[in-house]
This record gives sequence, C-alpha cells and structure tokens, in this order.
Amino acid sequence: MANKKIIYGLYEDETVLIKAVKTVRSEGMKIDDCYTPFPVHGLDDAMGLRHTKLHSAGFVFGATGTLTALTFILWITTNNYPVNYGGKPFLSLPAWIPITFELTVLFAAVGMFLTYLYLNRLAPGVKPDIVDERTTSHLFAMTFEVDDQTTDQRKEEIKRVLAASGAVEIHEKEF
Amino acid sequence: MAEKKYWKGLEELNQEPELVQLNQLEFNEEIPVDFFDGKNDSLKSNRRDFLKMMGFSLTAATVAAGCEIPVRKVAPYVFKPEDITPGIATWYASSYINGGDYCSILVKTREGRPIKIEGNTDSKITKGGTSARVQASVLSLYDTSRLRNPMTKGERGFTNASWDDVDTAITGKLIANPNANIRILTSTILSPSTKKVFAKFTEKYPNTKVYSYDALSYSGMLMANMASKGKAEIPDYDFAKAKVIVSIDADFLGTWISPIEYTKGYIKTRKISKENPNMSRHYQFESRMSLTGSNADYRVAVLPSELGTVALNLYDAITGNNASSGLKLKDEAKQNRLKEAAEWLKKHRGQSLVVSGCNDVNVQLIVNAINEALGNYGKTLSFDNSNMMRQGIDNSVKDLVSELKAGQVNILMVHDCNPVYDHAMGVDLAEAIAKAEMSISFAGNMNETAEKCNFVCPDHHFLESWNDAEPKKGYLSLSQPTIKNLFETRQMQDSLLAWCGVMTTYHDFMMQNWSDSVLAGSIDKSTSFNKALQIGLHQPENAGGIALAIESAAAILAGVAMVNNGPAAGTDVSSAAANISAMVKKSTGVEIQFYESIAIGDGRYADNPWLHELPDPVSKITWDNYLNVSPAWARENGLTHGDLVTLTVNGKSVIVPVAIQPGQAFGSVSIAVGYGRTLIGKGGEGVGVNVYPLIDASGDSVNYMASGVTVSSTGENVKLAQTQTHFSLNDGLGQRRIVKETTLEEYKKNPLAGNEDRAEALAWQEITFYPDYFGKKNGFNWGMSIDLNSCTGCGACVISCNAENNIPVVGKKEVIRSHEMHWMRIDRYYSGDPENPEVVYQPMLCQHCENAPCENVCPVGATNHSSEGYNQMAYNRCIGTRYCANNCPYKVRRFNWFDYGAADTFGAMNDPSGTEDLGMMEDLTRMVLNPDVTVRSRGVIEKCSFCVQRIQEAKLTAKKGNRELVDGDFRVACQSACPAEAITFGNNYDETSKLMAEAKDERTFGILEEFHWMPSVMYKTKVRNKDKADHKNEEALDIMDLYNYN
Amino acid sequence: MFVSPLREPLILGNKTYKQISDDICAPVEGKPTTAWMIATTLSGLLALTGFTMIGLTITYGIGMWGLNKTVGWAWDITNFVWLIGIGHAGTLISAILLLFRQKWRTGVNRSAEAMTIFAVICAGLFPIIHMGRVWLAFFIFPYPNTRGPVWANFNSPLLWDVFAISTYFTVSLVFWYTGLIPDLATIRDRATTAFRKKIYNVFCFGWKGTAKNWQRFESISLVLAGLSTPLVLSVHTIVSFDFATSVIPGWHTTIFPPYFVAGAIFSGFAMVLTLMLVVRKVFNLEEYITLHHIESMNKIIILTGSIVGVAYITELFTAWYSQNQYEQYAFLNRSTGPYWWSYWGMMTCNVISPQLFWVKKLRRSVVFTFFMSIFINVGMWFERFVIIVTSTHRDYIPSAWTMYYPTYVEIFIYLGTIGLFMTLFLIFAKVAPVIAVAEVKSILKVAGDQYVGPNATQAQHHHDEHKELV
Repeated sequence: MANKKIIYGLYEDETVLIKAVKTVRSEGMKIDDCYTPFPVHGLDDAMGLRHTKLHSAGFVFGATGTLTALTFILWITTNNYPVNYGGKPFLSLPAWIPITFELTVLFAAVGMFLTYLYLNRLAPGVKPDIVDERTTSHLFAMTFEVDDQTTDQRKEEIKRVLAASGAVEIHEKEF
Repeated sequence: MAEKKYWKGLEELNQEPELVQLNQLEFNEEIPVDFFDGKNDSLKSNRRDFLKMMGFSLTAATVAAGCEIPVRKVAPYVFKPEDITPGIATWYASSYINGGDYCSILVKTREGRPIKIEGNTDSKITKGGTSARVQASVLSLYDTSRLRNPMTKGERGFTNASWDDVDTAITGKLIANPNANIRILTSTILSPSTKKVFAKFTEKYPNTKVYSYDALSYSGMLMANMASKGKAEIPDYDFAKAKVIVSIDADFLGTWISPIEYTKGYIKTRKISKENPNMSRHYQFESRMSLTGSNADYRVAVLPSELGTVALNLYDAITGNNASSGLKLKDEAKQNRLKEAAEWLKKHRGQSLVVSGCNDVNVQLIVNAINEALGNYGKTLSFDNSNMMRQGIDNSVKDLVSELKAGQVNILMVHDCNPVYDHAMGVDLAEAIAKAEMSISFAGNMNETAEKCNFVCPDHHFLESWNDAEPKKGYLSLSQPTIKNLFETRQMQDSLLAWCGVMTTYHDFMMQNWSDSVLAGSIDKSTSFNKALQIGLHQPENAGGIALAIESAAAILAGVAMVNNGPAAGTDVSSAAANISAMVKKSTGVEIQFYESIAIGDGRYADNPWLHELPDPVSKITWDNYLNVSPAWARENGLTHGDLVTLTVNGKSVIVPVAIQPGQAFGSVSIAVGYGRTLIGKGGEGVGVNVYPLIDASGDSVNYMASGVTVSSTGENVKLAQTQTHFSLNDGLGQRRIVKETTLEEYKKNPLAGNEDRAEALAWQEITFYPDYFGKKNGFNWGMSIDLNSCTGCGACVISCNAENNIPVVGKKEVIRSHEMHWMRIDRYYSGDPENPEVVYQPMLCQHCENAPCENVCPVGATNHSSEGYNQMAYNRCIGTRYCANNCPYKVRRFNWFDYGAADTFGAMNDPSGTEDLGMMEDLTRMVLNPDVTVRSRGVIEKCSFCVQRIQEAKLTAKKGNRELVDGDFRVACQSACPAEAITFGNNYDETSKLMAEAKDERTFGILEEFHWMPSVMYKTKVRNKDKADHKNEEALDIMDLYNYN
Repeated sequence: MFVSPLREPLILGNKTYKQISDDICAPVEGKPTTAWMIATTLSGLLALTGFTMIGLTITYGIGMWGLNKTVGWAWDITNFVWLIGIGHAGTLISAILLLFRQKWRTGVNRSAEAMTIFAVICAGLFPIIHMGRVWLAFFIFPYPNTRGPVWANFNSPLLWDVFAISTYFTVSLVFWYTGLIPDLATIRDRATTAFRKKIYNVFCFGWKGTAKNWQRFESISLVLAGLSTPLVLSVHTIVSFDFATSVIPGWHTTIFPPYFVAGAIFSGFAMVLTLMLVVRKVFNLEEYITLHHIESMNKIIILTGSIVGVAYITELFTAWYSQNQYEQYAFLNRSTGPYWWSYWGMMTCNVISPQLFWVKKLRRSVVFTFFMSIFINVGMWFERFVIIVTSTHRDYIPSAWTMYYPTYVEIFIYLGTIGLFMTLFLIFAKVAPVIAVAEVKSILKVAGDQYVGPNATQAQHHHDEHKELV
C-alpha cells in the first residue's frame, strides 16, 4: 500500500482537544483520527463516531454458552451416559445451573475479548503506525490524512486550523 | 529330481539332535521354577506382573505344583486335568490343624493355588464356622520366611542340605545306636495316624518317649479331670444346651480350647425371635476384659486370685457346703451378683454350664464338683466324645530339660512347638539342647528352638500335607494337599517313617491305618475313604474313632503316666479349697494375668501380617502386646494410654506400653503372650514383647497368674496402633442412636423394644424430592442384615474379607496414622461404668446406600449405583479426590495412601519415612491374591463391594444351569466366615429370601436411617438378658481424656 | 480551579499527566533495586521448596500428608479455598467498584487484579495435587473418549468447581489484560531501547489509542465488569457448594454461599491491603494509593467482617435450633473440642478485631491496618481449617473419629504457594505498571489535587460535564 501521509497536531489537554475537534468539524474538515493516552469522554460524540456494537456481540456469545452447556449436559446425562448417582434423576436441572452459568460467562468474556482484539486490529506482533510516542503518555493528537494530490495551500490551511484550535505542536509525518 | 527340502535353519538342515528333540516338545522353554528358590524375592511387582503371575501360577502351580491335589499323579498342563479349568475355582475339603487348634475347612484353589479358606458346613464340630486364624492360615503358606530346604548346623551356623544328606546323617546315627534315648517333644497331636507313626517309631527305637505340651497349657484341667473323672481329657462342652452359663475366666468365644465350636453352640442360645424369645443368661467372672466377657450379660471384674473364691462360693451356694470357709469377694455388689448367678444355676440344673479357664487344678476340681452337683455331666458336658484339642502335660518340658541336663537324651526331636520361645524354662532348654548328641527340629519356619538344634527338617504347611485328625473322640477329619509343596520340605511323619525304615509314604500309611481301624467295619474301604476325603470328614455313629484314640493313648503314654502318678494336687474338694484359700492369702499387691490374644495365639501365628493387623476385638489395638490396666487404676498411678512401663513379675522385668482397658479389674493388669518373636521373618519379627519368661512354670501346671507385680513408668510414651480411639456413643449431648439395644424382659413385652423410634426415622424418608425415582424393579437388589445379638466381635469376617478382596496390609506405622485398609471393621462401643462397661460390637462395612452421598460428589463418576442396588467402585476411573470418603457418613471408604498393594503404575514405591516391608509385596506372597479382584493401585479409593465377584459368579453358574439365581446360592466372604451366623445376605426383591424375613423383624433397623440415605445394610437390636435396672446403656461414659490422642 | 467539595483528593501533589506516567512507570523502567532482587530470590526459593514437596507427594503418594481414613481433606483444600477467597477481592475492586463508579478503585485495581490472577494460579494447584492420581487429572474434563461413553458426573460440586475456577481464571485474565494493554503501550512508547520497544509492543498487541480504540475499550471494560461481578459471586458460591451440598454436619449448611462470598471479600481486601501497603512504600506511590484508599477498604473490611461474624453466630443458632444432635455436636466440638484453638483463633481474628476499625484513627493508621490485614488473613485461613477439619474429624460414627496433624510436606507446599504468589507479584510489579496509568489520568481532574497543568482554566468547564460521575 502506498505510504500514508498525515498532518497532526498535538494537544496538552483533552478538553482543548474536544473543542478543537468540534471547531474543525464545524469548518467541514475531515479528521482522520484522534490519539489519546486515556479514554476521553465525549470525544467519540464530538468526532461523530458510531456507538460500538461490541456489547451486543457479548450477548450473543453468552447465549451460545448457555445453550452449549444445557444441550451438552442434557444429552450426556439422559441419552449418552445415564448413570444413577445417589438415586438422583438423570435430568436434574438444578445441578446443572452452576456449570451452565459458568459457560455462559466464559463464552461471553472470551468471545468479546477476541472480537475486541479483532476490531482494534490488536495482536502480538502487530506493528502499529505510531503518530507520536507521547500520545500514550500525556499528549493528545488530531490527525489529517494528506496525499501527493494535496496542495501545499491545503496543508497550510490544515496547520492553521490546528494552531488556531490550540495545538501545541504541529507536524507532518509519513509512514 | 531329488525331493525338494524346506528348512528353517542350518541346524535343522543338518538335523542337529537337540533341535529335533526340542521340536518334539511343545514347551521348549525353561519353566520358571526358580521362582520358588527365592532368587526372585527382590523383584517388585506392578499391576501387569499380577496378570503375568496369574498366567505364571497357571503353569507353575500346575507344572511345578502339578495339581497334585487329591490325585496322586502329576499331570503336566498340556493334558488338561478334568478338575482344573482356568478361571474356575476348585474346592477341596480339608482340615485346619495347627497345634491343638482345629477347624474343618473347604479350600478354594484357583489354577492350583489355594487362595481362600471357608468353613465346612458338614462338620458336626465347627459346623462351617471359621476363626480369624483359620482364615489367615492360607497366607502363611506363602510366607517368605518359610524354610526352602533342610538345613544342617556346622561351625558356621546353618547350611542348606539335601534330604539325602540329612537322612543318611540321621538314620546313620539311629542305626548306630537303636537303644538311644530319643525324645520327641511335640504340641498336642490331633492326628491318630501321626500317633501311630510315633508308635511305629517307638517300636523300632524302644527308648523313644513322646512328650507333648501346649504353649498355652490346659493340663490343670486335664489333671483335675483325671482326679475327679479318671480321664486325662477335656470333656465335650455343649453350650447350645446351656440355659445358664457361668464362665470363670474362660474365654470360650475367643481362645478357649475350641472357640469356633463353642461360638456355634453359644449363639444358638442367643438367636431370639418373637416366636422364641428365650436366650441363655451368661455370667462371666474374670479379671481382664475378654471377648467372652464383653459378650456376657453380666460381667463381674474380679482379681485373678479371686477366681478360686468365685468357684468356691458358687460351689457353696449350690451345694450348701462351706468349702469357702468365709472366703468372699471384697466388693458387696460383686458377691451378690455371684449369689445371683448361683441361684440361676440352681434353677437350671442339668441345663447349665460352669467353665473355667484357670490352669489351676484346684479351681478346675471345684468347677467339676459344681457341674457334678448341678447334674450337668452327660447333659451339657460329657466324656462320651472327649475333646482332644488339648493334651499337653506341663511337666513334660520340665522333665525333658532335666533329662537333657543330665545328658540322658541322645536324640531330641522337636515337632510343631517352640519351647525355647514359649516356655518359661526356654532359656534352660536352649542351653540344655546342646547336651543332646543330635537335635532335630521339624519347624517349617526357622524359630527360636530350631535355631538351637543341629538339624532342621522343615515340615509341610498343612495345606501341602496329608493328615487326619480326631479333634473329638469319634469325629474324624482328613486334610489333603491343595498344592504340591512349594519348597523342598517334607512332612514330619514321612521323615519319621523314613528314619525308622518304613518304606511307605505317610499317605499310604494313613490309608492303611484307616482301613485297619476307622474303616474296619466297611466293605469297600477305598470308596468310603474317598467319600470321607471328599467331605473331609468321617463322623460315624459307631466307636470307630475310639479305637484310634486308644492307639494314640499308647503313643503319648509318657504324658498320661505323668498325670496318673503325678500331681500332688488334692483330688477332693476340701483339699482343693484349702489350696485355693492358701493361694488367695499368698497373693499380694498388684496381680497380673497372662492371656492368649485372639489373633496371634501362643505365638505360632506371629508370622502372619493379616493377623497382626487384625485389631484386637476388645482393645482395637494392632501390631503389639500391651499391659491392660483399668482406667481408675491408671489415674491413680498417673499412667496414660501408651506410657512405657517396666513390668516386673517373679523377679523378671520387661518394658511394655500401657493400654487403658475399661473392664480390667482394678488392681490387676494383664498382658498377651505370643508376641516378641525374634526369629519369624518379616511378618512379625520384633512385634511386641515376649512375656513367656515372666510366667511361673515351677508348679505342676503353668500358672498364668501372678501377684506382687510392680509397674513403674519409664516416663516415655508411645503411640499404640489403635484403629478405634473413641468408645462411647454418648457425645455429651446424649446417646447416638447408632446402636440400639434392649433387655430380654423388655423385648418379651414388646418386640419393638429399643427400636421404637424407627417408625419416625422411616417417616422422615417420606419427605423427598425424588420419591423412589428409579422405582422398584424385578431382578436383584442386594442387601445385608447383621444381628448384633449374635455377633461376638471375633473378627473372622475381617480376615475373610482381607483374603477375598486382596486388602493390603499397611503395618504399624500406617495404622497409627489411621491408614488401615480394612473394608470390614468391627466397631466396639462401651457404655455404663468405665470400670466394668457394657460392650456392644457393630460390624461396619459399606452400607451400599440407595441414595449414596458418596456417589453424588465424585467428579468423575468413579463410584455410582449399580442396577442391582449396590454401590460400585470403578478403580480405573478413580482419580483420588477423597471427596466420597469425606462425604461418607459411615466412614467406610479407604484410600490407598501409598502403594500398599504393589500395584502401582510407577512400580512399588514406599514413602521415605518408611512404611515397613512386611514381605507382603513379594511375588511369593502375592500368590495368595484373589485373581477375581483388582489389586488397587496407589491413590484410589476402595471399599466393600458386597463381594460383587461372588454375586457375578453365582449368577453365571445359575445361568449356565439355566435357572433363576435362588436365595443362598452363594455367600459373601464375611457371611461365610462368621461362626456366629450373624450375617445374612440376600435379595431385597425376593419376598421369599431369608433377608426379607430378617428385614420384616421388629428388631431390624438401619444406621442413621432418618437421613434418607437408605442403607442396604440392616442391623438387629442387641438384646441383653439382664434386669432393666442393671441396663445402664444410656449412662454417659467418657474415658477419652485417658487417651493421648487429643 | 476545581477541587471536589465532597471528597478528599485521590491523587496528591498537583500531578500532571506527564508526571503520572513518569511516577508510575519509574519502577518498571528503572534498574531492579536490591530490595526487589532479594525479595524475589527469597520468594522464588520458597516456591521451589514447595514444588519439591509437591514432587514428593506425587512420587510417593498422598500418604506424605497427615490425612487419614476420616479426614480426607485438610490443608490442601483449606489453602485452596483461602487463596481463591483472596483472589476475589481483585475482581471485586475492579468490577464492582467500576460499576459503582468508585473512582478510588483506579489506584489499586491493577495490582488487585494481578493478585487475583496469581492467587487463582496458586489456588488452582491444590485441587490438582490433592488427587491421588494426578496423572489422570484430565478425567475430570468431560471430553469424548474411547473408553466410552464415559463422562464426568455433572451432579458433583467438584466438577462445578472445575468449571468455576477455570472460567474465573480466564475471565480475570482477560479483564486484567484488557486494562493492561494501553499501559503497556505507554511503556513501549516511553521505552529508550529498541529491544524494550519490541518486547512491549508484542505485549501491548500494538495498541494505538485512537478514539475508536478507547470507545471499544470502555465498552468491553464495562461488559467484562458486568460479567465478573456475578462470576466472582458464583465462584465462591460454588466453592461453598463443595461443603454445603455434602451431608457432613458442619459442612451441610445452607448459609454457606453468602457466608463464603463475604468471607472471600473480607480476606481479599485484607490481602490487597497487605500488598498495596508494601507496594506504595517500596515504589513510593503514596500519592496514588492514599490514606483515603486505605480507609475506604478498611470500611469494607468492617462490613464484610461483620457479615462473616453474623454468619458464624447464625451457624451456632441453626445448630441449636435444628435440634439435630449431630449438627449440635459438630459445633460443640468446634468450640470446645480438641481444635478449639482454631475456632477461637478464627473468632478473634475475623469477628472481634475488625470492629476496631470503627475508630477512624485506627482506620487511617497505615501500620495498624497492615497488621490487621495480616491478622485477618490468618483468621480466614483458620475459618477454612475449622470448617474442613473439625467437621470431618468427628462426624456421625464415633468409632471413626480421628485427629489430624499436618506433615512437613503439607506445610512447605503451603509456604511454597505463598512463595509462588509473591514471586509472580514481584515480577509483575517490575515489568508492568502496578497502577492503571490511563485510568488514573482519566480521574486526575475530577479526583486529583489542584490540577495545575496547562489550560488549567478549561478544567472548570471540563468538570461540569462530569459532575454526575462524581
């Protein structure tokens, strides 16, 4: 893939960033992305991001767990291997509740986690394009994607806006 | 063209002779007979080896042992003998004869290996009962310490020899001087033919004398009977006929003369039902708490010296004489109890029985007089079929020693006895033996006496021998080999015959003897002999037996003569009374009594780990002998359980541990003989202390009691290997309803007596989530019923279970850590006065609950419920979480803490802290294992299986005979061993079964039934024939503080 | 300038984001201190001894332990329950407190979660090694096999345990690591050497921290918290079922689930305190783990301690009320039997002593809290010992009653697991931030001391947005 070029501004405070995002978008400019050292509440709204469906996925996974457990145990105790343990009925539902619950949780948690990694493209060994190493510590970045077609005048425009919105540093970077 | 030739190898091509020869043989490999000569003892086995060994024993037992069972011909296995089918047990009727002990038995052999002994129901004497010793005797056949060939003593101790060498040496000596003074010392000889052999030997060598003595002597009794009845014999006691039994220190249910027989009789008078609510009343006067005493209705603890007083007072009360001349029991209550006993005796003249275990001729004379006065002779005891089980005369050893010392003995032969160890004069004898020019021992295991002799000609184990026996006059019994002798041993009789130049084998000699005397009357002798052989018995109504008895009397003339011109003991009551009161006056201070333990006996069983690990029925202590003291006495002398004390008797001292024993008469102590063997193989070497030297044998009869004993603490304390450390059902909040008892009078009023609360317990079971989910099906639902009133607690079932189910022995250390493995245990509870408590025995095994708590909790389902209503274990599935054991309310599940059975996946491993090597893991010993039962590996749980292998076998047999399995087709191990017939096993779905009848009985109850585990094992209320006032069952008993366990 | 009028600050000393990163990452980036080295070696050796003893047990058999025919479980399961209980606090702090928006949790949740993981690892050892035939442990998993059909027994609480513990471990791990990823990224980006960068990049899965990343992060944290809360309750409930569903007096007790859970939180918080008090001292994080944290946790200890106390009393009452002799004796024996000392040890440590925390002064005393936390852990160990041993050693049939004494093997296995626990924790503390960097930053303005970073003026406005969270 062709190298990615970005122009980004660094902010020292999340509130400034959020304001900046709002103003920039109001000027109809397309923000590539924002990088923050910690979850900034309201940033996603400001950027107009969709709400994630991750938790819905979690529910599906959980339901799968419940079903797996119940059907599995039911099949074993009543059909495949019915054994008389202490004179209890083969189908003794109360005794299955613990395992059913545990499997529900297990499936939901693990399923979600894997989905989460997948969606975020997270995995051991992934080499991310790091905009600025300080964004995981104490700085907040707002990036704009540019390419060879982008005119210098356009770039200047971007930098101006960034500066105006309170960016302490503005850089161009190419991956 | 030339004929084409195919050849396998050059050897064949060139027709090498040995190959040609080999080709003709089917098995051209060596048969591993070297197995027997101990080279392999170092080998440890694993589970696979067990299978190998089954295969091996198939060959070895038949090729080596060659199934020379009753057949006289060796049958190589290639031709399958009719009576051996691999996997199918073959049974042989035989007789257990060990010293004077006798039991008619059936021997179960698998692939030619004897692995189990059951009682022979055809016997009129033992009636199918067995004892722990009988059950365990099969193990000593495979004892690793057995001698494997004859031995001669040289400068450098013993060296192995061949029979030829030995024979030439000995016969040479004999021929050289036919008039040599030969002395044969033996224990009681039951076998008429053996006596005949002695007679034969005496013919050839006229100066032969046969001395017979018993380590635990009854000669006091023999002498008394000689004096008062003119017969140096023990009468035939019939406890079944006795409505009132008074025992003066006779442990007739445990060790006295013929316990199996007496238990059989006694129990007839204890089995009661609504229809026949009568039982005998049993008074026991004794100083130590014996098995019999613990079963008595009334037990009075008296000092050893007071036993004579008891006899005299009984005599007076019955006859109205004044022989006691004011001699009384110090304690008023005890004296009254004594009077009461006398009253009951008087009320039951001819239906009562007074017996005494004292070896004091005087006491026995009085007892005879009492029975005489009560007219019991000819009714409850008689000399028609005198009991032959004890014939030893104490003076024999003394005479022998003096003869030896005087150098009057040229040749000494010791058979089936160990005087150096088990006689007070052992030490003298040990020295004196050297004085004989030649001394020969027939000991099967090297023992203390054999060690002193210069020839050891090992005798067969009784399971390898031909023999006959006359336990009671007129009752004959046969033993036959169930396996060819494992080692280069030879039967003593064969040796003697060989030495006196008789060329026949003992087997033929015996046959001849039978056709001459026993079968004199019968037409086809061989048939009738075989018939006798088949059932192992010959119990004619005619006097065939008597004829033999006379023969034998001649043989042991020496002994009898001594009795005749022997004892200075007064032959009439008055002088006896005088002697007694003299004795009473003499006795001062602490008194001691030496007794025979249920398991180890006189010491001849000391090589048997099964018996060592059998908890003493009363004290529940294993692997030791110990000084019994009463709780109060211990408190007074600042002694606690396990304190090591120096015991000094007659000037000799030993150091022994103290055991607090409720019921031991205050001021007296008691200790078991038979322990402290120094030469007896891994099994029992150095277990306990030998107290024989402390016994006073100076009198005409050995005196097992002594006074003026000192007991001084050494300040040390040891742990006793005790399997039960809590004795009371009263936990401080009241009596736990685990055992239910009542008194006879209550029972007569209401058969539900003592069991009234069962209805409530059963009512609780109605409250359930799953009302009978699996429903009542046809087919089988196995169950058991145990009659607490019959069970004497003897422990035969425990050993029987060991043998049947390959239960490992764990050793003292492990028992101390409560790691014993017994599937069947006998719980023993005390109630009432700690100084003389009431005792109840409760056999406890897996209860096979229908709603088993253990099954629910096993994560891998290794234990679950069979469709036949028993609780089954899949050892291979078990991962050993022990959850089931925790959740078992009866605590009957056992865990393999270490590799006790040598069945481990990783090979036998014992912990670094060192579980003892008891020789139980060696290949030879493992031949006793039952191939039908898995040997459990380390880390799995095991427990009673209701002998499922027997159930299955019975089902298959029934199926082959294509019929229904019927009640009584088979018996489980504990049931078949029980001499008291206390255990009933059967099918709960079979309305006609004996079990159902038991189940319907009012006395029947289950343990902890109210919890709705629905145990399949039911118990029947214990009924005591005593006045309600004396029945202190509810009274608290707390002697825990005397035990150093917590 | 904003300072919460309601609460004292959770972060002291006017920190900026940069300072936070610096402070918390310092121990990770600096050279290992001698103290750390010594501590790790010692605990490592202890762990090694433990494993040797486990080796002995497996080679020779469970007979190496002091168990017997009547007492089938003792130290093994006692330690298991004890460690699991300790573990629970971690999940609780991070999950429940997150759901309740308890900001003070951020200071401690990371190491609390780590503690959970390590505790569960140690706890998990015991059910495995207590088996007579460990090499067949796989039998407990219901898997299709050729012996078949042979399946596990789904009615067995022990099987429930297997599922509960493994699930609990997995979920805790996932939860913990999710939170750890961004912080590892921080360390990566602060890293000075390429190697360090590489390693940390592998472990942080290449985290970037885009707005979307964080959005999903928030979502999954919330759901995982939501799952962990019932999970943690269920786990100890199921552990308590091991006893509650049995028939042994003293085990068969219906109040066990809540009783065990309360006990778990109780001991867990105590353990967290023990660790945090050490950590904050050793790594000078007093400004992030403040007296306020300690006090809040002490308050929870009072609560749970009292709940446990009530449970003990209830048991006694029930025993009396049941009029069941066996039940009554079980408790009579506990309090007056040969193991009375363990019962009264438990009572003193768990019920009486925590009540001292009603005194604010003690609640806020670091030293007192430290000793108290140790005290409580001892007490809770006793509780499990009392329940397990004193119930079985004298149950229904007096003839089977025995005593239990531990062997050196058991003792060293126990110490070994503590060693293992410490080793793991020390290593963790060295390689990863013991405090959730990102989360602390996110509460800096709300709960921090005066925020004096740039654009301080904007802070005002920022706060008004988040008031409802405070």
